[in-house]
Amino acid sequence: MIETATRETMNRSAATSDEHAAARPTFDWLFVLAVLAVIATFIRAIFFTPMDALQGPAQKIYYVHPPSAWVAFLAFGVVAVASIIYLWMKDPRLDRLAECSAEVGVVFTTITLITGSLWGKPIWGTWWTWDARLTSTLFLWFIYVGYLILRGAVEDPGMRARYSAVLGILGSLLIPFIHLSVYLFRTLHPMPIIGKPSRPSLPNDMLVTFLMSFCAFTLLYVALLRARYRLATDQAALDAEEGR
Amino acid sequence: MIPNNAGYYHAAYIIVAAVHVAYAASIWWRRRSVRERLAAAAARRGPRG
Repeated sequence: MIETATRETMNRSAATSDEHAAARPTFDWLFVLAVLAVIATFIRAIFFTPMDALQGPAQKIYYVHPPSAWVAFLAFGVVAVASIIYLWMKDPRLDRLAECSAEVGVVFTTITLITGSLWGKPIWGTWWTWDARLTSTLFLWFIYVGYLILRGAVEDPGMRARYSAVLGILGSLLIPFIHLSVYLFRTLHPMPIIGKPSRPSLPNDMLVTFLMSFCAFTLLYVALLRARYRLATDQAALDAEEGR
Repeated sequence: MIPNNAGYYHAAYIIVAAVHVAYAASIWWRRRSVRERLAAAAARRGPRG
């Protein structure tokens, strides 16, 4: 217990010194690169990718919906891995990484749910249906919103980190279930187009846009996570300064 | 005949862009606020720290 407290105090003072360095204004080239990649993907999807003859223009929602879902899963996967290592090493930087990744993951899950609804209305004729994939994704969103609320509710940093690490790990167990739900249940949700054993069933033009979108959104996730982590580092320095 | 449902896809792209811009702006705004408070705390502490 004392050893843990001492290590956390040491980590906090170490964080304080590199926090001040991080507080220097810097040009975020990664963020600019990510924004340019997303803009290029949008331009390609809107103007240079053929339209699906059956679904019409609404099919182009595919270039933002699955990549957002992928990034959400990646973000919550990072939460789980960081939380597991936190419980082992008790390094507050890992707790901070988990917190930041969870917040970015909630943003991408929100986008997944909204864009899914916007695709469902013209194609299925309804904004929402209680199908296994949709319901479990909504459940995932609630778990990580709860995770962020939990972090705001617990005052003690050590307890906050431990409780949220456990919730972060448990929440991530839903990810494989969500991915497999289209195979396990009779659902309205389409089957995977890329992540399946056989060849992707998309024409080349669409496939390139689809893969480009995955890369651009992943890059955006890394850029947002880095920016959010810098904010968390500054916040930790401020908490140390104010003696919290 | 190709269905006319472009409104949904336009809305989706606008919402994706708006949510990302709003989130990036919130990070920038929160960090600016924290850094101002850090600077104020450093000024209160004085040059010797």
